[in-house]
Amino acid sequence: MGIHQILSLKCADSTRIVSESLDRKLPATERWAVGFHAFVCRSCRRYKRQLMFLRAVMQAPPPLAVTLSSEARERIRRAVVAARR
Amino acid sequence: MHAANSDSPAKVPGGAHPAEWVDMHGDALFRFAMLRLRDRETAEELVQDTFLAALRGKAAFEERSSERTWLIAILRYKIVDHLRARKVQAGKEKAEPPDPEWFDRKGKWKTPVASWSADPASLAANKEFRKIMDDCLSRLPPALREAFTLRESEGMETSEICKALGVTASNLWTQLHRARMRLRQCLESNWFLGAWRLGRG
Repeated sequence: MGIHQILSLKCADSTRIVSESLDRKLPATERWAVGFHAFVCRSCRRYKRQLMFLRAVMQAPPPLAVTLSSEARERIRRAVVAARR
Repeated sequence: MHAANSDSPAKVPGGAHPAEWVDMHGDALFRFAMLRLRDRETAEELVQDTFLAALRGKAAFEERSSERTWLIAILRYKIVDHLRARKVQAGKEKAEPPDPEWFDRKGKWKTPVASWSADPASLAANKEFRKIMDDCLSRLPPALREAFTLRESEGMETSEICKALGVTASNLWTQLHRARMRLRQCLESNWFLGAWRLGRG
């Protein structure tokens, strides 16, 4: 990635690279490119914050109200008891 | 098969009779499965499979520190197996719909990205938000949903996910990018802009 590509990165490429930054270590040129692009693009700055938001929400536990239904509980109990025989 | 009196009292308060597993651990395992699968029926099936596999391998538990940890470890394998099987089936399913056009011909956003001013932890505990989040996840093509949940919910390394799902690293990055783009759009339309309008209305 040359200086021209670093300075002329498009939103379409920036979003892809920002997403990949959550999954792989970016080389310096890509870091500079998305950093410079974010400096001049409000939507891409917001996009990056949104990806961090998605990660945080996905790692939060579901509410405790998520439980087995009584039917499923009974079905599983019967299966376990039958398998022990 | 092991006798029912093979309890480990110091480690398993209340006894470890398999008949009691459902009451002792069923909900915890179900929540664990739902966190990753977000599909009630499949989660229930995998919880049952986990208990049956645990019965067959109960000897392995005796050296473990926590029965629940042991059961969750079994469930994790069940989930990965399930996702792998889904990967095989996916080849027979109809082609997924193409992604929307996010960018114009010059590579710029077609619609400006909104600001999400909310605390993720409190929103995650909000039932209404959870409902919309689940709905948005369920709208993802299965391959994208699986890759995304393994990465963001399970927190698996990308190399592990590639092995579990049988994809290359660059394929996985593309899937994750597409999943994130679709999810952010779905949440923005259905929660953030909707909530903003309600708040203003």
